[in-house]
Amino acid sequence: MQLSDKRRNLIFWVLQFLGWGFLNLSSLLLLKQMSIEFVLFSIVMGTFIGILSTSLLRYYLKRNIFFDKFGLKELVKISVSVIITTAFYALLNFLSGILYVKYGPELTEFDLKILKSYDNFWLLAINSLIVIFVWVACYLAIKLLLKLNTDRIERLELNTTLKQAQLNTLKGQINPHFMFNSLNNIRGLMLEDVERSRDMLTKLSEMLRYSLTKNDVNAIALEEELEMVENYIDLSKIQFEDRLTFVKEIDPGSLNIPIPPMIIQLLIENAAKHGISNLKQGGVITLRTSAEEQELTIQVRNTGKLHLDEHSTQLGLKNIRQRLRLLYGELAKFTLREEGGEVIADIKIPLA
Amino acid sequence: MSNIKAVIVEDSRLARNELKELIKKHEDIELLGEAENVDKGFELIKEVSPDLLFLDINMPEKDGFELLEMLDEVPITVFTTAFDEYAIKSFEYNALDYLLKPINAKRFALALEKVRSTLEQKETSEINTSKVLSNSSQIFIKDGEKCWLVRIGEISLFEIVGNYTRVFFNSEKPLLYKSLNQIEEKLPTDSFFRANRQQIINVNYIASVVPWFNGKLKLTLQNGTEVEISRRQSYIFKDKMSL
Repeated sequence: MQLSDKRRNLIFWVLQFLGWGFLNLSSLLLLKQMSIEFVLFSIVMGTFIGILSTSLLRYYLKRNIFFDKFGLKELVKISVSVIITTAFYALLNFLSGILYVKYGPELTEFDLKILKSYDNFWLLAINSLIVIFVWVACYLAIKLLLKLNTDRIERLELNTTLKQAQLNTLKGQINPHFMFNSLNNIRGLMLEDVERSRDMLTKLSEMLRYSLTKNDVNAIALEEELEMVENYIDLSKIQFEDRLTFVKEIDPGSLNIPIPPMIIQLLIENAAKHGISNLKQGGVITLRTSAEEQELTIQVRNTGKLHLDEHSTQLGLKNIRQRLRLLYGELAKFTLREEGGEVIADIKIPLA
Repeated sequence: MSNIKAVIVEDSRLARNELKELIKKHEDIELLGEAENVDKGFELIKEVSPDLLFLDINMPEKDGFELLEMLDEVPITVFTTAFDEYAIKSFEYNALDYLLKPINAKRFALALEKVRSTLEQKETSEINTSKVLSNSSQIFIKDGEKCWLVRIGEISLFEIVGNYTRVFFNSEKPLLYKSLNQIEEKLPTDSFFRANRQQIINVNYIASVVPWFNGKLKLTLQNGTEVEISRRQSYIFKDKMSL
Protein backbone atom coordinates (compact mmCIF):
# COMPACT_ATOMS: atom_id res chain seq x y z
CA MET A 1 0.00 0.00 0.00
CA GLN A 2 1.37 3.36 -0.96
CA LEU A 3 -0.20 6.42 0.62
CA SER A 4 -0.68 9.50 -1.44
CA ASP A 5 0.62 12.78 -0.02
CA LYS A 6 -2.91 13.97 0.51
CA ARG A 7 -3.81 10.96 2.62
CA ARG A 8 -0.56 11.21 4.53
CA ASN A 9 -1.40 14.79 5.42
CA LEU A 10 -4.88 13.85 6.53
CA ILE A 11 -3.57 11.06 8.72
CA PHE A 12 -0.99 13.40 10.22
CA TRP A 13 -3.61 15.94 11.27
CA VAL A 14 -5.94 13.33 12.67
CA LEU A 15 -3.16 11.82 14.76
CA GLN A 16 -2.04 15.29 15.79
CA PHE A 17 -5.45 16.29 17.11
CA LEU A 18 -6.12 12.94 18.73
CA GLY A 19 -2.72 12.84 20.41
CA TRP A 20 -2.71 16.32 21.80
CA GLY A 21 -6.37 16.14 22.66
CA PHE A 22 -5.92 13.00 24.75
CA LEU A 23 -2.81 14.31 26.44
CA ASN A 24 -4.58 17.48 27.53
CA LEU A 25 -7.84 15.80 28.45
CA SER A 26 -5.85 14.04 31.18
CA SER A 27 -6.13 17.23 33.19
CA LEU A 28 -9.80 16.29 33.58
CA LEU A 29 -8.55 13.86 36.21
CA LEU A 30 -7.79 16.82 38.39
CA LEU A 31 -11.25 18.29 37.86
CA LYS A 32 -12.36 17.93 41.43
CA GLN A 33 -9.65 20.15 42.75
CA MET A 34 -9.46 22.67 39.92
CA SER A 35 -11.98 25.23 38.82
CA ILE A 36 -13.90 24.26 35.70
CA GLU A 37 -12.78 27.39 33.89
CA PHE A 38 -9.15 26.62 34.45
CA VAL A 39 -9.55 23.02 33.26
CA LEU A 40 -11.23 24.16 30.05
CA PHE A 41 -8.58 26.79 29.50
CA SER A 42 -5.80 24.24 30.02
CA ILE A 43 -7.34 21.78 27.59
CA VAL A 44 -7.93 24.26 24.81
CA MET A 45 -4.71 26.19 25.26
CA GLY A 46 -2.60 23.08 25.83
CA THR A 47 -3.93 21.40 22.70
CA PHE A 48 -3.47 24.55 20.68
CA ILE A 49 0.07 25.14 21.84
CA GLY A 50 1.02 21.51 21.33
CA ILE A 51 -0.34 21.37 17.82
CA LEU A 52 1.11 24.72 16.85
CA SER A 53 4.65 24.03 18.02
CA THR A 54 4.90 20.46 16.72
CA SER A 55 3.34 21.37 13.41
CA LEU A 56 6.05 23.97 12.96
CA LEU A 57 8.55 21.29 13.88
CA ARG A 58 7.09 18.95 11.31
CA TYR A 59 7.22 21.69 8.69
CA TYR A 60 10.95 21.89 9.27
CA LEU A 61 11.62 18.15 9.58
CA LYS A 62 9.66 17.31 6.48
CA ARG A 63 11.84 19.60 4.37
CA ASN A 64 15.18 18.86 5.98
CA ILE A 65 15.27 15.23 7.12
CA PHE A 66 15.36 12.40 4.58
CA PHE A 67 16.08 8.81 5.44
CA ASP A 68 17.98 8.28 2.21
CA LYS A 69 20.98 9.97 3.76
CA PHE A 70 20.89 9.80 7.51
CA GLY A 71 24.05 10.82 9.38
CA LEU A 72 25.46 12.97 12.09
CA LYS A 73 24.27 16.09 10.29
CA GLU A 74 20.68 14.93 10.39
CA LEU A 75 21.01 13.95 14.04
CA VAL A 76 22.26 17.44 14.89
CA LYS A 77 19.44 19.01 12.88
CA ILE A 78 16.87 16.94 14.74
CA SER A 79 18.39 17.69 18.16
CA VAL A 80 18.59 21.42 17.53
CA SER A 81 15.05 21.58 16.19
CA VAL A 82 13.79 19.58 19.17
CA ILE A 83 15.48 21.97 21.60
CA ILE A 84 14.12 25.04 19.82
CA THR A 85 10.64 23.56 19.70
CA THR A 86 10.85 22.65 23.36
CA ALA A 87 11.79 26.21 24.25
CA PHE A 88 8.98 27.54 22.11
CA TYR A 89 6.50 25.11 23.61
CA ALA A 90 7.57 25.92 27.15
CA LEU A 91 7.46 29.63 26.50
CA LEU A 92 3.96 29.51 25.07
CA ASN A 93 2.77 27.46 28.04
CA PHE A 94 4.36 29.90 30.41
CA LEU A 95 2.80 32.89 28.66
CA SER A 96 -0.61 31.25 28.60
CA GLY A 97 -0.34 30.81 32.35
CA ILE A 98 0.42 34.49 32.80
CA LEU A 99 -2.44 35.35 30.46
CA TYR A 100 -4.88 33.34 32.57
CA VAL A 101 -3.73 34.84 35.81
CA LYS A 102 -4.04 38.36 34.44
CA TYR A 103 -7.30 38.20 32.56
CA GLY A 104 -8.93 34.96 33.72
CA PRO A 105 -11.46 34.48 36.46
CA GLU A 106 -10.50 34.10 40.08
CA LEU A 107 -8.14 31.30 40.96
CA THR A 108 -8.72 28.49 43.42
CA GLU A 109 -5.92 27.50 45.69
CA PHE A 110 -5.16 24.40 43.65
CA ASP A 111 -5.11 26.37 40.41
CA LEU A 112 -2.54 28.62 41.94
CA LYS A 113 -0.42 25.67 43.01
CA ILE A 114 -0.37 24.32 39.49
CA LEU A 115 0.38 27.70 37.99
CA LYS A 116 3.21 28.15 40.46
CA SER A 117 4.85 25.05 39.13
CA TYR A 118 5.10 26.82 35.77
CA ASP A 119 7.39 29.29 37.45
CA ASN A 120 9.88 26.55 38.16
CA PHE A 121 12.14 26.78 35.10
CA TRP A 122 13.62 23.27 35.26
CA LEU A 123 10.33 21.53 35.85
CA LEU A 124 8.80 23.28 32.89
CA ALA A 125 11.84 22.64 30.68
CA ILE A 126 12.06 18.93 31.42
CA ASN A 127 8.33 18.45 31.10
CA SER A 128 8.31 20.14 27.71
CA LEU A 129 11.38 18.30 26.54
CA ILE A 130 9.85 14.91 27.34
CA VAL A 131 6.64 15.78 25.51
CA ILE A 132 8.39 17.07 22.41
CA PHE A 133 10.89 14.22 22.42
CA VAL A 134 8.15 11.58 22.50
CA TRP A 135 6.35 13.41 19.73
CA VAL A 136 9.47 13.42 17.52
CA ALA A 137 10.12 9.75 18.23
CA CYS A 138 6.58 8.83 17.14
CA TYR A 139 6.80 11.08 14.11
CA LEU A 140 10.09 9.65 12.91
CA ALA A 141 9.00 6.05 13.57
CA ILE A 142 5.86 6.44 11.46
CA LYS A 143 7.78 8.22 8.76
CA LEU A 144 10.40 5.47 8.70
CA LEU A 145 7.77 2.73 8.39
CA LEU A 146 6.08 4.47 5.48
CA LYS A 147 9.43 5.02 3.85
CA LEU A 148 10.36 1.33 4.15
CA ASN A 149 7.05 0.38 2.58
CA THR A 150 7.54 2.77 -0.33
CA ASP A 151 11.06 1.46 -0.85
CA ARG A 152 9.79 -2.10 -1.04
CA ILE A 153 7.21 -1.20 -3.67
CA GLU A 154 9.77 0.71 -5.68
CA ARG A 155 12.11 -2.26 -5.57
CA LEU A 156 9.38 -4.53 -6.89
CA GLU A 157 8.57 -2.13 -9.70
CA LEU A 158 12.20 -1.87 -10.63
CA ASN A 159 12.43 -5.65 -10.80
CA THR A 160 9.49 -5.81 -13.16
CA THR A 161 11.01 -3.18 -15.40
CA LEU A 162 14.28 -5.09 -15.47
CA LYS A 163 12.52 -8.30 -16.46
CA GLN A 164 10.69 -6.45 -19.18
CA ALA A 165 13.97 -5.15 -20.50
CA GLN A 166 15.42 -8.64 -20.56
CA LEU A 167 12.36 -9.89 -22.38
CA ASN A 168 12.81 -7.16 -24.93
CA THR A 169 16.25 -8.43 -25.82
CA LEU A 170 14.96 -11.97 -25.99
CA LYS A 171 12.25 -10.95 -28.38
CA GLY A 172 14.79 -10.07 -31.01
CA GLN A 173 15.99 -13.64 -31.17
CA ILE A 174 14.85 -16.58 -33.21
CA ASN A 175 11.57 -18.07 -32.15
CA PRO A 176 12.43 -21.41 -30.50
CA HIS A 177 9.41 -23.08 -32.04
CA PHE A 178 10.68 -22.16 -35.47
CA MET A 179 14.20 -23.29 -34.68
CA PHE A 180 13.26 -26.74 -33.40
CA ASN A 181 10.77 -27.31 -36.19
CA SER A 182 13.45 -26.38 -38.70
CA LEU A 183 15.96 -28.75 -37.13
CA ASN A 184 13.40 -31.54 -37.17
CA ASN A 185 12.47 -30.85 -40.77
CA ILE A 186 16.09 -30.84 -41.81
CA ARG A 187 16.48 -34.21 -40.15
CA GLY A 188 13.54 -35.50 -42.17
CA LEU A 189 14.88 -33.90 -45.33
CA MET A 190 18.17 -35.77 -44.95
CA LEU A 191 16.31 -38.96 -45.73
CA GLU A 192 15.46 -37.71 -49.21
CA ASP A 193 17.77 -34.88 -50.23
CA VAL A 194 21.11 -34.64 -48.50
CA GLU A 195 22.36 -31.73 -50.60
CA ARG A 196 19.35 -29.59 -49.77
CA SER A 197 19.55 -30.52 -46.09
CA ARG A 198 23.14 -29.32 -45.97
CA ASP A 199 22.05 -26.09 -47.56
CA MET A 200 19.27 -25.67 -45.01
CA LEU A 201 21.64 -26.23 -42.11
CA THR A 202 23.82 -23.42 -43.44
CA LYS A 203 20.82 -21.12 -43.69
CA LEU A 204 19.74 -21.92 -40.15
CA SER A 205 23.27 -21.21 -38.93
CA GLU A 206 23.27 -17.88 -40.73
CA MET A 207 19.99 -16.95 -39.11
CA LEU A 208 21.28 -17.87 -35.69
CA ARG A 209 24.43 -15.87 -36.22
CA TYR A 210 22.49 -12.86 -37.47
CA SER A 211 20.12 -12.86 -34.52
CA LEU A 212 22.98 -13.28 -32.06
CA THR A 213 25.22 -10.57 -33.49
CA LYS A 214 22.84 -7.98 -34.87
CA ASN A 215 20.53 -7.94 -31.92
CA ASP A 216 22.15 -4.96 -30.24
CA VAL A 217 22.96 -3.04 -33.40
CA ASN A 218 20.59 -0.13 -34.06
CA ALA A 219 20.72 -0.02 -37.84
CA ILE A 220 21.61 -2.31 -40.68
CA ALA A 221 21.40 -2.04 -44.47
CA LEU A 222 18.06 -3.30 -45.77
CA GLU A 223 19.95 -5.59 -48.14
CA GLU A 224 21.49 -7.47 -45.24
CA GLU A 225 18.14 -7.91 -43.55
CA LEU A 226 16.77 -9.29 -46.83
CA GLU A 227 19.28 -12.13 -46.75
CA MET A 228 18.00 -13.06 -43.34
CA VAL A 229 14.43 -12.96 -44.61
CA GLU A 230 15.32 -15.20 -47.56
CA ASN A 231 16.84 -17.70 -45.17
CA TYR A 232 13.75 -17.64 -43.05
CA ILE A 233 11.48 -18.16 -46.05
CA ASP A 234 13.58 -21.06 -47.37
CA LEU A 235 13.48 -22.76 -44.00
CA SER A 236 9.75 -22.14 -43.68
CA LYS A 237 9.26 -23.73 -47.07
CA ILE A 238 10.53 -27.07 -45.84
CA GLN A 239 7.86 -26.83 -43.12
CA PHE A 240 4.97 -25.54 -45.25
CA GLU A 241 6.17 -26.89 -48.63
CA ASP A 242 3.70 -25.88 -51.36
CA ARG A 243 1.49 -24.13 -48.81
CA LEU A 244 3.84 -21.15 -48.84
CA THR A 245 4.46 -18.85 -51.79
CA PHE A 246 6.79 -15.92 -51.35
CA VAL A 247 6.74 -12.88 -53.61
CA LYS A 248 9.10 -9.95 -53.27
CA GLU A 249 9.04 -6.58 -54.95
CA ILE A 250 12.16 -4.77 -53.85
CA ASP A 251 12.93 -1.23 -54.91
CA PRO A 252 16.66 -1.24 -55.80
CA GLY A 253 16.90 2.25 -54.34
CA SER A 254 15.97 0.91 -50.92
CA LEU A 255 18.75 -1.67 -50.63
CA ASN A 256 21.28 0.56 -48.93
CA ILE A 257 18.93 2.34 -46.58
CA PRO A 258 19.68 1.60 -42.92
CA ILE A 259 16.83 0.01 -40.99
CA PRO A 260 16.51 -1.45 -37.46
CA PRO A 261 17.62 -5.10 -37.68
CA MET A 262 15.06 -7.95 -37.35
CA ILE A 263 12.18 -5.62 -38.17
CA ILE A 264 11.27 -7.06 -41.59
CA GLN A 265 12.09 -10.47 -40.22
CA LEU A 266 9.53 -10.03 -37.42
CA LEU A 267 6.85 -8.96 -39.90
CA ILE A 268 7.52 -12.00 -42.10
CA GLU A 269 7.53 -14.25 -39.06
CA ASN A 270 4.16 -12.86 -37.97
CA ALA A 271 2.80 -13.39 -41.48
CA ALA A 272 3.92 -17.02 -41.46
CA LYS A 273 2.88 -17.78 -37.89
CA HIS A 274 -0.51 -16.08 -37.81
CA GLY A 275 -1.28 -16.27 -41.52
CA ILE A 276 0.07 -19.22 -43.47
CA SER A 277 0.37 -21.73 -40.64
CA ASN A 278 -3.36 -21.38 -39.93
CA LEU A 279 -4.42 -22.07 -43.51
CA LYS A 280 -4.86 -25.64 -44.69
CA GLN A 281 -4.43 -24.56 -48.30
CA GLY A 282 -1.62 -22.18 -47.47
CA GLY A 283 -1.17 -18.74 -48.99
CA VAL A 284 1.12 -16.00 -50.23
CA ILE A 285 3.49 -13.72 -48.36
CA THR A 286 4.45 -10.59 -50.28
CA LEU A 287 7.28 -8.28 -49.31
CA ARG A 288 7.49 -4.88 -50.95
CA THR A 289 9.86 -2.02 -50.30
CA SER A 290 9.88 1.42 -51.85
CA ALA A 291 12.11 4.38 -51.21
CA GLU A 292 10.80 7.85 -51.85
CA GLU A 293 12.34 11.19 -51.13
CA GLN A 294 11.03 11.51 -47.64
CA GLU A 295 10.46 8.00 -46.43
CA LEU A 296 11.04 4.31 -46.83
CA THR A 297 7.98 2.06 -46.96
CA ILE A 298 8.18 -1.61 -46.05
CA GLN A 299 5.05 -3.61 -46.67
CA VAL A 300 4.42 -7.25 -45.77
CA ARG A 301 1.17 -8.86 -46.88
CA ASN A 302 -0.12 -12.33 -46.22
CA THR A 303 -3.22 -14.31 -47.07
CA GLY A 304 -5.50 -14.61 -44.07
CA LYS A 305 -7.59 -12.73 -41.57
CA LEU A 306 -6.51 -10.24 -38.98
CA HIS A 307 -7.64 -11.55 -35.65
CA LEU A 308 -5.71 -10.35 -32.68
CA ASP A 309 -5.87 -13.37 -30.49
CA GLU A 310 -6.45 -12.51 -26.85
CA HIS A 311 -4.18 -15.38 -25.86
CA SER A 312 -1.34 -14.02 -27.92
CA THR A 313 0.96 -11.69 -26.06
CA GLN A 314 1.53 -9.64 -29.23
CA LEU A 315 5.13 -9.37 -28.21
CA GLY A 316 6.21 -9.16 -31.82
CA LEU A 317 3.97 -6.19 -32.61
CA LYS A 318 4.86 -4.42 -29.38
CA ASN A 319 8.53 -4.96 -30.08
CA ILE A 320 8.26 -3.39 -33.52
CA ARG A 321 6.34 -0.36 -32.23
CA GLN A 322 8.66 0.15 -29.31
CA ARG A 323 11.81 0.02 -31.37
CA LEU A 324 10.47 2.37 -34.01
CA ARG A 325 9.49 4.83 -31.33
CA LEU A 326 12.85 4.63 -29.61
CA LEU A 327 14.72 5.22 -32.86
CA TYR A 328 12.51 7.68 -34.72
CA GLY A 329 10.15 9.13 -32.14
CA GLU A 330 6.78 9.95 -33.68
CA LEU A 331 8.16 10.13 -37.22
CA ALA A 332 7.99 6.40 -38.00
CA LYS A 333 4.65 4.68 -38.54
CA PHE A 334 3.53 1.10 -38.17
CA THR A 335 0.04 -0.05 -39.16
CA LEU A 336 -1.62 -3.43 -39.41
CA ARG A 337 -4.89 -3.91 -41.29
CA GLU A 338 -6.97 -6.42 -43.17
CA GLU A 339 -7.97 -5.77 -46.76
CA GLY A 340 -9.42 -8.10 -49.39
CA GLY A 341 -8.55 -11.36 -47.66
CA GLU A 342 -5.08 -10.17 -46.86
CA VAL A 343 -3.39 -8.90 -43.73
CA ILE A 344 -1.22 -5.90 -44.55
CA ALA A 345 1.54 -4.58 -42.33
CA ASP A 346 3.09 -1.23 -43.26
CA ILE A 347 6.15 0.39 -41.81
CA LYS A 348 7.16 3.89 -42.80
CA ILE A 349 10.57 5.14 -41.77
CA PRO A 350 11.64 8.77 -42.31
CA LEU A 351 14.75 9.32 -44.41
CA ALA A 352 17.12 11.79 -42.83
CA MET B 1 0.78 -59.62 -28.26
CA SER B 2 -0.75 -58.36 -31.44
CA ASN B 3 0.57 -55.39 -33.35
CA ILE B 4 -0.09 -51.88 -32.13
CA LYS B 5 -2.14 -49.96 -34.65
CA ALA B 6 -0.91 -46.39 -34.96
CA VAL B 7 -1.69 -43.22 -36.90
CA ILE B 8 0.15 -39.93 -37.29
CA VAL B 9 -1.54 -36.54 -37.38
CA GLU B 10 1.04 -33.87 -38.22
CA ASP B 11 1.03 -31.07 -40.77
CA SER B 12 4.65 -31.13 -41.87
CA ARG B 13 5.41 -33.87 -44.39
CA LEU B 14 9.06 -34.03 -43.40
CA ALA B 15 8.17 -34.36 -39.74
CA ARG B 16 5.87 -37.26 -40.64
CA ASN B 17 8.72 -38.90 -42.55
CA GLU B 18 10.97 -38.37 -39.58
CA LEU B 19 8.44 -40.08 -37.32
CA LYS B 20 7.93 -42.96 -39.78
CA GLU B 21 11.67 -43.51 -39.81
CA LEU B 22 11.62 -43.84 -36.02
CA ILE B 23 8.62 -46.16 -36.10
CA LYS B 24 10.35 -48.46 -38.60
CA LYS B 25 12.73 -49.61 -35.89
CA HIS B 26 9.83 -50.97 -33.84
CA GLU B 27 8.34 -53.93 -35.63
CA ASP B 28 5.26 -54.25 -33.47
CA ILE B 29 4.00 -50.80 -34.50
CA GLU B 30 1.80 -50.98 -37.53
CA LEU B 31 1.23 -47.60 -39.14
CA LEU B 32 -2.31 -47.51 -40.50
CA GLY B 33 -2.28 -44.03 -41.90
CA GLU B 34 -1.27 -40.41 -41.61
CA ALA B 35 -3.11 -37.13 -41.83
CA GLU B 36 -1.92 -33.57 -42.35
CA ASN B 37 -4.66 -31.77 -40.49
CA VAL B 38 -7.23 -32.30 -37.76
CA ASP B 39 -10.27 -32.91 -39.98
CA LYS B 40 -8.49 -35.56 -42.04
CA GLY B 41 -7.10 -37.00 -38.84
CA PHE B 42 -10.59 -37.24 -37.34
CA GLU B 43 -11.88 -39.18 -40.37
CA LEU B 44 -8.87 -41.47 -40.30
CA ILE B 45 -9.25 -42.26 -36.60
CA LYS B 46 -12.97 -42.94 -36.97
CA GLU B 47 -12.21 -45.29 -39.83
CA VAL B 48 -9.39 -47.36 -38.39
CA SER B 49 -9.80 -46.87 -34.60
CA PRO B 50 -6.09 -46.99 -33.80
CA ASP B 51 -4.57 -47.95 -30.45
CA LEU B 52 -2.00 -45.21 -30.65
CA LEU B 53 -2.02 -41.65 -31.95
CA PHE B 54 1.05 -39.51 -32.64
CA LEU B 55 -0.29 -36.00 -32.55
CA ASP B 56 1.23 -32.63 -33.35
CA ILE B 57 -0.18 -29.67 -31.42
CA ASN B 58 0.22 -26.79 -33.88
CA MET B 59 -1.67 -27.44 -37.07
CA PRO B 60 -3.61 -25.23 -39.49
CA GLU B 61 -7.15 -24.20 -38.47
CA LYS B 62 -7.56 -26.68 -35.62
CA ASP B 63 -4.92 -27.78 -33.15
CA GLY B 64 -4.22 -31.17 -31.64
CA PHE B 65 -6.36 -30.54 -28.58
CA GLU B 66 -9.36 -29.81 -30.76
CA LEU B 67 -8.92 -33.20 -32.43
CA LEU B 68 -9.06 -34.88 -29.02
CA GLU B 69 -12.18 -32.91 -28.17
CA MET B 70 -13.87 -34.13 -31.35
CA LEU B 71 -13.27 -37.78 -30.51
CA ASP B 72 -15.66 -39.82 -28.35
CA GLU B 73 -12.92 -42.19 -27.35
CA VAL B 74 -9.33 -41.07 -27.30
CA PRO B 75 -6.62 -43.54 -28.31
CA ILE B 76 -3.38 -43.58 -26.33
CA THR B 77 -1.88 -40.29 -27.42
CA VAL B 78 1.73 -39.23 -27.70
CA PHE B 79 2.15 -35.56 -28.48
CA THR B 80 4.97 -34.51 -30.72
CA THR B 81 5.88 -30.88 -30.40
CA ALA B 82 8.76 -28.55 -31.14
CA PHE B 83 8.39 -26.15 -28.25
CA ASP B 84 5.05 -25.98 -26.52
CA GLU B 85 5.72 -26.26 -22.87
CA TYR B 86 2.67 -24.18 -22.19
CA ALA B 87 0.32 -26.49 -24.06
CA ILE B 88 1.73 -29.59 -22.42
CA LYS B 89 1.49 -28.05 -18.97
CA SER B 90 -2.19 -27.33 -19.42
CA PHE B 91 -2.73 -31.00 -18.73
CA GLU B 92 -4.06 -31.29 -15.22
CA TYR B 93 -4.55 -34.97 -15.06
CA ASN B 94 -3.01 -38.05 -16.63
CA ALA B 95 -0.38 -35.97 -18.31
CA LEU B 96 0.15 -37.42 -21.73
CA ASP B 97 3.44 -38.53 -22.97
CA TYR B 98 5.04 -36.04 -25.27
CA LEU B 99 8.10 -36.07 -27.44
CA LEU B 100 10.09 -33.00 -28.34
CA LYS B 101 11.10 -32.59 -31.95
CA PRO B 102 13.67 -33.49 -33.16
CA ILE B 103 12.87 -36.72 -31.37
CA ASN B 104 15.53 -38.61 -29.47
CA ALA B 105 15.40 -42.32 -30.50
CA LYS B 106 15.90 -43.47 -26.91
CA ARG B 107 13.08 -41.34 -25.59
CA PHE B 108 10.91 -42.57 -28.43
CA ALA B 109 11.60 -46.19 -27.41
CA LEU B 110 10.74 -45.37 -23.78
CA ALA B 111 7.46 -43.76 -24.77
CA LEU B 112 6.56 -46.87 -26.79
CA GLU B 113 7.44 -49.07 -23.83
CA LYS B 114 4.87 -47.19 -21.77
CA VAL B 115 2.31 -47.51 -24.55
CA ARG B 116 2.86 -51.28 -24.68
CA SER B 117 2.36 -51.77 -20.97
CA THR B 118 -0.78 -49.62 -20.97
CA LEU B 119 -2.20 -51.62 -23.84
CA GLU B 120 -1.39 -54.95 -22.17
CA GLN B 121 -3.31 -53.91 -19.06
CA LYS B 122 -6.19 -52.89 -21.23
CA GLU B 123 -6.25 -56.21 -23.08
CA THR B 124 -6.17 -58.38 -20.00
CA SER B 125 -8.94 -56.42 -18.32
CA GLU B 126 -11.42 -56.57 -21.15
CA ILE B 127 -11.89 -56.81 -24.84
CA ASN B 128 -13.36 -53.73 -26.34
CA THR B 129 -16.35 -54.50 -28.48
CA SER B 130 -18.49 -52.31 -30.69
CA LYS B 131 -18.89 -48.60 -30.21
CA VAL B 132 -19.51 -48.64 -26.50
CA LEU B 133 -16.72 -47.37 -24.26
CA SER B 134 -15.09 -49.72 -21.78
CA ASN B 135 -13.82 -48.93 -18.31
CA SER B 136 -10.31 -48.52 -19.66
CA SER B 137 -11.31 -46.26 -22.55
CA GLN B 138 -10.20 -42.71 -22.07
CA ILE B 139 -12.06 -39.54 -22.84
CA PHE B 140 -10.64 -36.06 -23.27
CA ILE B 141 -12.11 -33.13 -21.37
CA LYS B 142 -11.18 -29.52 -21.90
CA ASP B 143 -12.76 -27.03 -19.53
CA GLY B 144 -11.45 -23.51 -19.99
CA GLU B 145 -7.69 -23.58 -20.03
CA LYS B 146 -7.35 -26.97 -18.36
CA CYS B 147 -7.30 -30.40 -19.96
CA TRP B 148 -7.85 -33.88 -18.61
CA LEU B 149 -7.60 -37.36 -20.05
CA VAL B 150 -9.77 -39.59 -17.92
CA ARG B 151 -10.35 -43.32 -17.97
CA ILE B 152 -14.05 -44.11 -17.89
CA GLY B 153 -13.52 -46.45 -14.92
CA GLU B 154 -12.18 -43.56 -12.83
CA ILE B 155 -15.36 -41.54 -13.14
CA SER B 156 -17.75 -41.83 -10.20
CA LEU B 157 -20.59 -39.55 -11.29
CA PHE B 158 -22.02 -37.64 -14.25
CA GLU B 159 -24.41 -34.79 -13.51
CA ILE B 160 -26.52 -32.53 -15.77
CA VAL B 161 -25.58 -28.86 -15.86
CA GLY B 162 -27.86 -27.16 -18.36
CA ASN B 163 -27.11 -28.74 -21.72
CA TYR B 164 -23.77 -30.04 -20.54
CA THR B 165 -22.47 -32.55 -18.06
CA ARG B 166 -20.26 -32.26 -15.04
CA VAL B 167 -17.83 -35.16 -14.67
CA PHE B 168 -16.67 -36.19 -11.20
CA PHE B 169 -13.43 -38.11 -10.76
CA ASN B 170 -10.89 -38.05 -7.95
CA SER B 171 -11.25 -34.53 -6.63
CA GLU B 172 -11.83 -32.97 -10.04
CA LYS B 173 -15.14 -31.99 -11.58
CA PRO B 174 -14.73 -30.36 -15.00
CA LEU B 175 -17.55 -29.64 -17.41
CA LEU B 176 -17.90 -31.79 -20.52
CA TYR B 177 -19.60 -30.17 -23.48
CA LYS B 178 -21.90 -33.08 -24.22
CA SER B 179 -25.39 -33.89 -22.98
CA LEU B 180 -25.98 -36.57 -20.37
CA ASN B 181 -28.07 -38.61 -22.82
CA GLN B 182 -25.29 -38.50 -25.39
CA ILE B 183 -22.89 -39.81 -22.78
CA GLU B 184 -25.25 -42.47 -21.49
CA GLU B 185 -25.40 -44.17 -24.89
CA LYS B 186 -21.67 -44.76 -24.86
CA LEU B 187 -21.17 -45.87 -21.27
CA PRO B 188 -20.65 -49.55 -20.34
CA THR B 189 -23.92 -50.71 -18.73
CA ASP B 190 -22.29 -53.05 -16.26
CA SER B 191 -20.66 -50.17 -14.38
CA PHE B 192 -22.87 -47.19 -15.03
CA PHE B 193 -26.41 -46.69 -13.89
CA ARG B 194 -28.89 -43.90 -14.55
CA ALA B 195 -29.96 -42.97 -11.03
CA ASN B 196 -32.41 -40.24 -12.01
CA ARG B 197 -32.91 -37.64 -14.71
CA GLN B 198 -29.95 -35.62 -13.54
CA GLN B 199 -27.33 -38.19 -12.66
CA ILE B 200 -25.49 -41.27 -13.83
CA ILE B 201 -23.45 -43.10 -11.22
CA ASN B 202 -20.61 -45.59 -11.40
CA VAL B 203 -21.79 -48.54 -9.26
CA ASN B 204 -18.19 -49.37 -8.38
CA TYR B 205 -18.01 -46.15 -6.35
CA ILE B 206 -21.05 -46.74 -4.15
CA ALA B 207 -20.26 -46.67 -0.44
CA SER B 208 -23.72 -47.35 0.99
CA VAL B 209 -27.38 -47.79 0.03
CA VAL B 210 -30.33 -46.97 2.29
CA PRO B 211 -34.10 -47.20 1.67
CA TRP B 212 -35.70 -43.78 1.25
CA PHE B 213 -39.30 -42.53 0.92
CA ASN B 214 -41.86 -44.04 -1.47
CA GLY B 215 -39.75 -47.05 -2.29
CA LYS B 216 -36.89 -44.89 -3.43
CA LEU B 217 -33.28 -45.57 -2.57
CA LYS B 218 -30.55 -43.22 -1.43
CA LEU B 219 -26.91 -43.87 -2.25
CA THR B 220 -23.78 -42.45 -0.80
CA LEU B 221 -20.74 -42.46 -3.05
CA GLN B 222 -17.22 -42.98 -1.78
CA ASN B 223 -16.50 -39.27 -2.07
CA GLY B 224 -19.45 -38.52 0.19
CA THR B 225 -21.87 -37.34 -2.52
CA GLU B 226 -25.46 -38.39 -1.87
CA VAL B 227 -27.58 -39.50 -4.80
CA GLU B 228 -31.29 -40.20 -4.73
CA ILE B 229 -32.53 -42.88 -7.12
CA SER B 230 -35.92 -42.21 -8.69
CA ARG B 231 -38.69 -44.67 -7.88
CA ARG B 232 -38.77 -46.32 -11.26
CA GLN B 233 -35.00 -46.68 -11.37
CA SER B 234 -34.95 -48.01 -7.79
CA TYR B 235 -36.79 -51.17 -8.87
CA ILE B 236 -34.38 -51.69 -11.71
CA PHE B 237 -31.45 -51.00 -9.42
CA LYS B 238 -32.58 -53.53 -6.81
CA ASP B 239 -33.06 -56.06 -9.55
CA LYS B 240 -29.68 -55.39 -11.08
CA MET B 241 -27.81 -55.50 -7.80
CA SER B 242 -29.98 -58.41 -6.67
CA LEU B 243 -30.93 -56.61 -3.47
